[in-house]
Amino acid sequence: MRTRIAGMLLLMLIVGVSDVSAQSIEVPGIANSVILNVSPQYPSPGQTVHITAESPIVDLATADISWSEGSKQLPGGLGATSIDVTAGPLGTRLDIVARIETSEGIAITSSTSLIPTQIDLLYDGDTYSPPFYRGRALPSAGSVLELHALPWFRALNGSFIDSKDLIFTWKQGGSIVAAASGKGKNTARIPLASFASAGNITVIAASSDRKLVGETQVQIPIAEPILDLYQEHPLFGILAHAALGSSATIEDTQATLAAVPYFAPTRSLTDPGLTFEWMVDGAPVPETQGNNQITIEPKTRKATVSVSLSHNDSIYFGVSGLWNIALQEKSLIQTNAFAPKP
Amino acid sequence: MNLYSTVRFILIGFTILILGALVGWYIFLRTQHSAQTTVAVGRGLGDTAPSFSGAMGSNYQNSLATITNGSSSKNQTVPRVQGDIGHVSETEVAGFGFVTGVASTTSLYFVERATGYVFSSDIRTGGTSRISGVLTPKIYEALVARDGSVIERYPSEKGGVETVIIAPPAAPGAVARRMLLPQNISPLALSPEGVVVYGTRTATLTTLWSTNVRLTKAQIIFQSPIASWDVVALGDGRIVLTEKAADAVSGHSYILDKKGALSPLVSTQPGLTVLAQSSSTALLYTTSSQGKVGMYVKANGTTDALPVPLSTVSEKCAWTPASPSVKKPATSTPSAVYCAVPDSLLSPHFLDSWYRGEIHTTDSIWRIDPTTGTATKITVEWPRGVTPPDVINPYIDSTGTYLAFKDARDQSLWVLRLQK
Repeated sequence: MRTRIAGMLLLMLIVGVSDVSAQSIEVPGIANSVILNVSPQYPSPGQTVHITAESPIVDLATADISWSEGSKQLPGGLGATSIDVTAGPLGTRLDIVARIETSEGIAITSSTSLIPTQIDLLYDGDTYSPPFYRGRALPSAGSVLELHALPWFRALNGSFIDSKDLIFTWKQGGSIVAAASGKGKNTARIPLASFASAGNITVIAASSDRKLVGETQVQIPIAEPILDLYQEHPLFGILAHAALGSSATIEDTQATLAAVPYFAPTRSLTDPGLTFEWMVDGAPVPETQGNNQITIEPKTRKATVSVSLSHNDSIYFGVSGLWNIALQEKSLIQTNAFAPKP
Repeated sequence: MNLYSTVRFILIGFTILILGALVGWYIFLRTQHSAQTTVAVGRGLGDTAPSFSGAMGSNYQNSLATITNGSSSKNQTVPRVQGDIGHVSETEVAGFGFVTGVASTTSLYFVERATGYVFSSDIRTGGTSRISGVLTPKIYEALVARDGSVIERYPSEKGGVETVIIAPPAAPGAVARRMLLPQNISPLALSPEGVVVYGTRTATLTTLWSTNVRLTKAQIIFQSPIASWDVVALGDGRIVLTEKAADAVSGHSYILDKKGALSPLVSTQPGLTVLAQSSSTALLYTTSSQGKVGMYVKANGTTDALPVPLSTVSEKCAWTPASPSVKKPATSTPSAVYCAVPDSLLSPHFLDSWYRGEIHTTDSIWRIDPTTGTATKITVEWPRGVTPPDVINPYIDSTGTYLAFKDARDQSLWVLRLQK
């Protein structure tokens, strides 16, 4: 406290007292001693913004602080060092002013402006999923993370600023990805070389005059590859709506089975680096090496089928599965045409 | 002696020739066996005899199972009153759509997955006839526009995906045009008005194109390094672009207006799936994160999203038409959303498992009022012994009378009457 008062007196001596009244003393330049911290730093439209007044030399805890948003008065009072406001829509500016009167009678005014921006950070993985899969191709170990930043920066004149006119800075885990950063670079491809999470991916975009700045970040998990087994019907094709469970029954005496990976680090099953290794009842089936399909026609009408999948170029990728398949004559189990299929 | 030897050599040579021919014929037959098997199965070989136990009668099962001629009548249950349900196709259907005829009649076109044949079903009478006859097995996906244009997708010999557009005849007596789109396109959408949106992919860039069913006026509408896009072409010309969903993974959705301007629709929601209404700004979206499913509805673009107390995904929902019927204003109903809602609790990773065909649901049908967010369960008269389906691809006709959908469990096609 003594240090702060001494600092205040020193400051008054240096800059001089410009206006002395019964209520307050105006000290030119002292406004710089109070900083308004905004969190989040670059708010998006409608977001609640927490603003805190801080000062290294002014004792704000004993100061009378009033807040205003344009002409609108906001709640304030003794030691009211922070306030929450709501950011407006895109293309608007919110001027927040804090008027501080210290216990020593010194008046300080500090202000900040909020121009909301929005950046959508989109991503998927350069990984395999079947052509008609309705879900997202997620990034997995050994794959490439694909990122697309869609900025919504609206200037005060109402016009949107094009991506190509913004300067983008990409960060992975706090480290700048220099190769992906630069003017107009709103996309990035980041190799994921290990099992670890891709970490926090952050993108910051700024207009050339830095009047508009936006930031967003997303925690991107590494997906675990999945291997499903489906029946390949001669007329219907792969029955992708009916993945075979660990114990499955197929209404036929012969069946072609298709192993379908999800999130394998490749775009195509014809990738020569992919290796399918099939085993039926514990015995390898070398003639199906590299093929994601196998035809079984066990005399006992039962077979234990296993398949493992790896990729020559990725030591991180490997997935396998085991299924007990029973084959039955169609007529034996078709008792009700409307019964749900297994 | 010479004559005897000559005759003997001729006979031996003739015998060798016959044996060689037989061996050649045998090899030829073996090479043809595989293709012949597929054709034979397509013609019904190996199918069990009709059991005549189906509630819909056996005519339809016979006509579709054996596919003998170009047209057949059908004896399906006709949904005559509200809540009635009809099983339009018991065989696997690749896709369907309501088609408006010249006399403003509405037919339900559907594409059979095993053959690629296009059938037309008159829901009011139950009659079904085949209207297209190019045999193409393994149709994985089919889309139908209101004018009868059909898009079929099937695996190519190289392991990719072929996509063919079958445009209806330009004039009476003319033949339908079949045109190939580029290979391996993804995503793909067809609006009721015949706008085609498809994506092509280079090593690092996805380009979305917009064209029509005659493949003229193709233009680039959007580009992104992201390949996992879901696209819906609305009947009013707008296009909805949504990141493909994954459970607990943040998603975004955008609307591309007729002028090509992109604007956000829903941002940063986990497991986001979106259903926009054509000809209005009403919107329904769902979120999914580790078993917690949220549903929200906006009556228009200016109102706040209202939570809906149902646990389902928007892919199980369909909007009724936005504007009331001009011709029959008395029969029009306010705009609403119909959703199929799983009867049991959803598993932690329901969305992903459901997409991969690992799990299925049994659903009830609910009606949602978008202005209040309230939901009402619809009474459906399911045929005796039928497990309520796992609804997918629900679609309501332009009069708001019928809701057609597929059962994800067996890919069969159903239609439900929504109005009296």
